Amino acid sequence: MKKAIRNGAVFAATALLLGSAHAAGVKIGYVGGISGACGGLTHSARKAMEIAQEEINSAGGVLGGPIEIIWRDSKTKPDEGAKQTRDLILSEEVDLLTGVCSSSVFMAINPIAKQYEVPLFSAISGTHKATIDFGHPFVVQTQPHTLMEGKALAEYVARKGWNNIVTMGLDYEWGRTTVKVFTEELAKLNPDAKIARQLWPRIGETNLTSYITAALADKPDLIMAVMFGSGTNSLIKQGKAYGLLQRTELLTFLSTESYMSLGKDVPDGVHGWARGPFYALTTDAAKAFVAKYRAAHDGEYPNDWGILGYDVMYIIAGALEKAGSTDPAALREALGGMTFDTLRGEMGMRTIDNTFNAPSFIGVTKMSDEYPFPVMTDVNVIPGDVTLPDEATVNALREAAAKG
Amino acid sequence: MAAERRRGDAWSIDWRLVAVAFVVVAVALHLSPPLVAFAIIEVLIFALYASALNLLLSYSGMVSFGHAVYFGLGAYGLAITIAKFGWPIWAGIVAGPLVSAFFGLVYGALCVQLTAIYAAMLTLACAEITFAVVFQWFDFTGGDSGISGHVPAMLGLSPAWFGIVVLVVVTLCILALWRVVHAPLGLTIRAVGENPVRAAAMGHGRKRVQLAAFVISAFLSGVAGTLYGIFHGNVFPEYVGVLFTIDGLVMVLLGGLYSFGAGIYGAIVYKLLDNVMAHYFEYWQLVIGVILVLVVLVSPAGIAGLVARVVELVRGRVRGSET
Repeated sequence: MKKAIRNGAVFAATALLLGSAHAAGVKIGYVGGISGACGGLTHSARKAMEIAQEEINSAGGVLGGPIEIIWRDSKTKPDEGAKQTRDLILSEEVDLLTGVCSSSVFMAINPIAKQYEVPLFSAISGTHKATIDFGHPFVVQTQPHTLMEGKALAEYVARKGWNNIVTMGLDYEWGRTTVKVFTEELAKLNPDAKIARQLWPRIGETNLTSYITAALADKPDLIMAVMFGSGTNSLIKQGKAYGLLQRTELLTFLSTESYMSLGKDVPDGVHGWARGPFYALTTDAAKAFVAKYRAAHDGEYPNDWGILGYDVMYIIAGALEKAGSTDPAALREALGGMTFDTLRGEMGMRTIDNTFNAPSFIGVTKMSDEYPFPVMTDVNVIPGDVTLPDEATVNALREAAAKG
Repeated sequence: MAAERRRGDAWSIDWRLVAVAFVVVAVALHLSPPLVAFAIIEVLIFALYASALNLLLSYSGMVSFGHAVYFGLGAYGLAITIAKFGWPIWAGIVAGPLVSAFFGLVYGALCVQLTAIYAAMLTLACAEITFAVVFQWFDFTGGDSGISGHVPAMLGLSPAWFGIVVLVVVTLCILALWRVVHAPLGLTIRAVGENPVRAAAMGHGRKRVQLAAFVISAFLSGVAGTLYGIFHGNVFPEYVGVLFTIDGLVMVLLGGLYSFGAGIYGAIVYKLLDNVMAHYFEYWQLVIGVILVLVVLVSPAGIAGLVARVVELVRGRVRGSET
C-alpha cells in the first residue's frame, strides 16, 4: 500500500512538473468583451489577431515556438474581466495579456497585471488613466488614448480655421475629458477660436433635437460632437430635418463599424475621426491584410479594432524576439528602443508612460464606389508625436492621482 | 410549505451546523488553489448580499428592483472616503456599509410610501438615478473608469486569509440577520409582509416596519459591497448597475423564496455555474435561465424547498426503518 502511495505521489509530481514546465513559444491571454457592450467591436479584433497568429506561427513562431492565445470573455464587466485575468495568470500561466475593451475593464485588469508583473498590451481601450494616472512598468498602450485624440481634434480644427465652435460631448468621462483637452489645446493652437457653447447630452438619449437647435442657434462654424454609436446615428439622422450639415460643419467619432451599420445613411461631408480605418491605410502590408481578412471571412471588411488587434500581435512578437525571452523587464527594455512597421505606419513606444505614438485619422465622409458603405476621404493622419502629452502633464496627472 | 416555514421559525441557531460549515469553508480556503479560493470568497460575499435582499423579498413583502445600489454604494463609500477624503482604510471600511444604510433610509422612506408594484418601480427609479450620478459625476466617482488604488486588493492578504476574514464577517452578518428575523422585530416584519392590514390593526404601522427592514437590508448589502470593493481593490459603476441587481434576484429565486437560506443556496449554485460552466459553455446564462424556469415550475420553493424535501424523505425513511 505504502509503495502504491509513493508511486502515485511520484507520478503526480512528475505530471505536475511536466505540466508546469514552460514549453517553447509564448502563451498570450486575451481578455476582452467578446459579449456585452464591446461585443460588436471586438469580433473583428479577434479575427484579425487569429490571422496574425497564424502568420507568425507559420513563419516559425516566436522564441522557438508557436504563439498560443487563450481567449477569455470579460462580458464587458470589470469584475468578470478581473476574474478572467487572475485565472489566465494563475491557472493558465500566460506570459502576457492583451485585448481589453472599455475603460472600466482596463482599469480593473491593470492593477492585477501590476501585482503579478505580467505585461499587459492594451489594443482596444482608449483610457489614458491606466498608462498615465495609474501607469506601471508592465502596462502598454498601442492606440491613441483620450488625451491624444483630444489634441488631434484640436490640431485638425485649427488646420481648418474654424473659429466659432459648439461642443457636444456625451455626459460621461470620455465626452468630458475629450472636450476639455480639445478646448485647452485649441486655445493654444488658434487663439481666435472660441467655444460658443458646450452641450452635454446624456448617454443613451435618443432625442437630440433640443441639442441640435441649441447648437445651431449660435451659428457655429463647427459642431464638435464627442459621441459614438447610436448617439452619432441620432445626431446625423435628426440633424437632417434641421439642415444641420448645410448650416454648419460636423466633426464626430466615426470608426469603420459605424459606416458599415449606417451605410447610405451617412451623408457626404461629415468630418469623422477614427483609430484604424482600413481604407485609409496605403501600405502593401495593409492591403495584403485586408485581402486576407476578407478571404477568410466571406468578404467582410475589418473594422478599426481589427487593425489595432493585428498590429498589437506583431508588436508583441517583435518585442519578444528582441528581448529573447518573456521576462517582463527584458521585454520592456526591448520595447523602449524599437520601432515597428505596423499597418498604421511606423510606430514606437516611449518609456515615460509606455505609450505608442499611434496616429489619429480624421477625414470627410463620402459615398464610395469601391465599398458598399461610405468612407472618409482626404484623411489627415495626425501623428502620435504631435498628440502625446508632454512629460510635465504626465507627471502632474500622476501626482493628482496619487493624492486622490 | 407551511410545515417548512414552521421549521425555519425555530428560534435557536443550530451551532453544530454553523461550526461545521465554518470549518469546512475555512479548510477549503486553505487547501484550494488561489482561483478556487477566489470563487469561494465570491460565493460568500454574494451569499450575504442575496440574504440581505431576501429579507425584503421573503419577509417584508417588498420587492427591490435596485438592490445593487446598496451593494455598490458600500464599495463606493469605502473608495470615496479613502481616495477623496483621505480617511484611513479602517474608517473607509466602517463608512462603506453606513453609506449604504443612509441611502437605504432615504430611498426606503420614499419607497414605503407606495405598495406592491408601485413601490418596486420606485426602487428601480432610485437605482437608475444613483447609477446615472455615479456614471456621470466622474470628478467625484471616477466615472466609468471607477476608483482604484485606494485599498490594496484583499488588504494585501493571501486569498486564503482574506477568505477567512470574509468568512468571519459574512457568518456574523448572517447570524445577525437570523436573530433579526426571529426577534420580535423580525416577527413584526413578517406580520407586515404577510398581512399589512392585520398588522396595522395590532398597532404595527406598515411604513415604519418596512423602512426598518429596508435599512437593515441596505446595511448588510453594504457590508457585502464593501467586502467586494476590498476583494477587487476597486469600484466601478457596474457595481450599482442593473446586472448586479438581477444577480441578487436570481439567486434568491433559485435559492427559494420564503426560506432563510435562499440567499446562501442561490449564491452557491449561481456562482458555481458562473465560475465553472462559463469556461465550457459560452451561453451559460441560458442554462441559468432554463434552470430558473424549471425551478419556478417544478419547485417554486427553490433549492431550499428541494433540500427540505430530500431531508424529509431521508428522515421519513430513517423513521420508517426504525419502526
